[in-house]
Amino acid sequence: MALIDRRFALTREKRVSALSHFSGTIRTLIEYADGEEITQRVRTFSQASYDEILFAFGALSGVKGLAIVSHGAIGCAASNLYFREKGEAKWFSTNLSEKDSILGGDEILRAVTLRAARTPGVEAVVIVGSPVVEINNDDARAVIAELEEETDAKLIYLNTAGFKSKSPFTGYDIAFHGILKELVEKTDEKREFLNVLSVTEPPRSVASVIKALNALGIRYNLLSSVKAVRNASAARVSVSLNPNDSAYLGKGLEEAFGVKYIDAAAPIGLAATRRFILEIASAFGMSDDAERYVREQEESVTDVIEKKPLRGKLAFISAELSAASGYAALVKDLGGEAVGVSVTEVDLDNREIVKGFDGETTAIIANGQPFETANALCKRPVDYYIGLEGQTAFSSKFGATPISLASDAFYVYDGIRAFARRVETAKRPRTGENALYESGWLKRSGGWYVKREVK
Amino acid sequence: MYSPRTGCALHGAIAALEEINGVIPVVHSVMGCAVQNYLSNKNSGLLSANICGFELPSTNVMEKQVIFGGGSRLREQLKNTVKVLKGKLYVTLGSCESAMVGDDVAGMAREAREEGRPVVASDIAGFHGAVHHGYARVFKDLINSVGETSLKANDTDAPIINVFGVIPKNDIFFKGDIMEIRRVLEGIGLTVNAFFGYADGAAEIARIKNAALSVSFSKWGAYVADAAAQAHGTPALKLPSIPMGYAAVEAFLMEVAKRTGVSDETADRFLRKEKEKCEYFANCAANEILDVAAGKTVVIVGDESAALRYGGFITETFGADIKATVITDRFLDEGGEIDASGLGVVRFSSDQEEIAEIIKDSGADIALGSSLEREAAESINAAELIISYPSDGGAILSKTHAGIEGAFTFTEDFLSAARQAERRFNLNVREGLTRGNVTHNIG
Repeated sequence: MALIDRRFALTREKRVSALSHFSGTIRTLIEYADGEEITQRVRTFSQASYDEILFAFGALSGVKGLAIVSHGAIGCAASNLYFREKGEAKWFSTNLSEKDSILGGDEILRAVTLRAARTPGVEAVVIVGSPVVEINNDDARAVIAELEEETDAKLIYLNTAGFKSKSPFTGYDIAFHGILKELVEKTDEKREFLNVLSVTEPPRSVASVIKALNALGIRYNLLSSVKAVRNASAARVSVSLNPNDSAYLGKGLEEAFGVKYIDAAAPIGLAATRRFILEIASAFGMSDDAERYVREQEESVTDVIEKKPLRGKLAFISAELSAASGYAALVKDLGGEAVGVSVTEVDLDNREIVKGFDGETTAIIANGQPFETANALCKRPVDYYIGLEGQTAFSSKFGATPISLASDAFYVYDGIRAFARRVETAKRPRTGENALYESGWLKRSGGWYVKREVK
Repeated sequence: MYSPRTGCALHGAIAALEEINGVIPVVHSVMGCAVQNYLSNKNSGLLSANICGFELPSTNVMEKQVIFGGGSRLREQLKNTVKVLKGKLYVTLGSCESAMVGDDVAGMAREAREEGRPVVASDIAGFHGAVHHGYARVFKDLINSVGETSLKANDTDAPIINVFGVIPKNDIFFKGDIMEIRRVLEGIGLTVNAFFGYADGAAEIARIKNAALSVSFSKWGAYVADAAAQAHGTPALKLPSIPMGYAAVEAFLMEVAKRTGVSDETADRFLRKEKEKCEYFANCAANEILDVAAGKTVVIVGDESAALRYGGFITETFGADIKATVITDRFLDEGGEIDASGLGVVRFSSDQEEIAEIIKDSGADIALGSSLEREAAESINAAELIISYPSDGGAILSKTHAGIEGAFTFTEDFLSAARQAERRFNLNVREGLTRGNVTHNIG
């Protein structure tokens, strides 16, 4: 069944057997993730983590012309104060009280949705569900059906519960499912442009990719407005800047609208960047130009690569799997070695990537869970810790110099130069010794609290 | 039904606990609740040094626990949290899900205590209200339950004073404000339980019961002071806001001294030095205040205690004219009565759109508020000064707008804003003169 033929997006666990809890080595992970499906695990101690609601917000917040209505308690939309800086979507909340959690929030939802729909510049309203409405079984779809005659804005409901999937990436899939079903317009016409599917990439990294596309004369659509989303069906080709985030959207566009999807790895490091550019160019019949461009660009970073600023240095990488693979290669390009990775998810679609790492590499699958990374860093200290936004500073307490991916994901050739420079200028913050984690924990096996899930 | 400008009660509780050195909050909720709190505070650079963000222990309950109950998951989490994370006191926090499902959060904490672990609970839920509610509720629960643990208080000979009502992160300058409140109270010889910052906050929680006096700086703080009075008989001095400026600090310290048995001589000795400092800086700023700040029109957006603090100082120090004040919090949904003299037209709202209209109608030269007010302030060419949550105006570490030092800092900020407003106004006038249509251009 095609993705959008389903009423709802399946969770990543159900669709691709996503594993989001693991602690061991790459070798044990490859053994564990073999087979027709991957057995789920749980943690008996866990730390805070993103959930599907936050990832749905992340997928939507950059789309101009959207209003996002958080249908939940006031705190379910608290992160809007963060996401507002990521894009131009407008934010609303039903701010459900305890009374609403008992009597239902339909009236409030009706009022807030209408207000959002009537806000100047809003073309579509996406109502994002929450634990409160899911437990209470509020029928938001019935409210939408009633309101559709009262507004020209498109109304979309996302059934994000916050507790149905261990993988926050399900939130991306739910958001893209809603967009594919309700916003993307059917067209038979195909035009010569590329959908660039970007969710989490910092603008600096997207700009680096666009610079490369411009050099090749490939027109692009960033899907950063409702109009651009509607037009996505007219593209010749789509590519994800990180397939862990947006492959669902790419595959959905291919299945439902005939837009070819290039399933390329994130363009980080020499090899992945070369493949990324050549595959896109090939889809537009521009392979010769692309070969020439890649040759020129590789020559332009020769001095950086030959300098080997990471010679003899060890690194631990925390990122989504496709990106982590790219960073490991980039570290190697620059003379270093990745001896540990913490990735957010491994599933049936991406598990082949895991085989690209050395078997003895420490392997953690986690969203957040710095306690396990701290354990790994304590046992096998590294020189550099490369990690996600807001999750790197702790590594300095274990001897590493942190490098944050918050403002630059180091894509394509610009990324290679910027990463090498970052390594050279990086400083370890003077935050003192570890005062948070018990020494008893740091001596235990890193996988102590990861158990096979009992159904 | 508006764009949210703050987090929920659970977030208020988390934000308070993670700022108390030695205390570990244990969140019993779905995966995203604690990260929502982290992200909402992140852009203001308001992160905790003790534990924060992805470090917080959280049960991350799934559908199975929602259907069958999450008690056993919480039991397991508590048992393992004390083995992984160093803490003197662990505080279990409930959530909307645990409240709706009926998980016995307090029972699980009791069970952990019976096994010798220092665990207490606050059975809070996000839908109980905004962050203010969470701060007040969790402190009330701490006061009522911390005696059941083995948490030890440090010995001290000096009289102890509890400080309630400074709400971490919601008061965007709370780190510096707490340091300044601590400084002036220690200046007259008191031992201070201010809880937040790099002091041993857990030990201060343990000695709440030993205090000679509680002071509170908002209705939310008064609620906590009442809890201390009820539990331990601690008398309370309830102020509507944090004192700012010499006159307010002097009145505050003299009253505190009287109630705690500190001699007038000791208080005078400290205040004399502070007064010398204040007069020195008042002389430095006097001409600038008279040239630029006097007569400027102002609109204030913030919670009640902030509005009263800034409103009082602005009218007394700068001779500025407050046109309107928007109060963004409502104490336990009671709304209503405040002493609003000098605050102009006072309205209660947390709706960004409605607040924007009030700002535009005020036509003020200077808008004091959160970063959500920036667009409205710009639309009337007003200078914006961020004093309330949320703030994206830059990272804040030890900056304060409280007490004596805070009065200096706020004076710098206000005068800079006043000068900016003056420049904008004059530019407008000059452009109008060039076009020969002054009245039209300056509105």
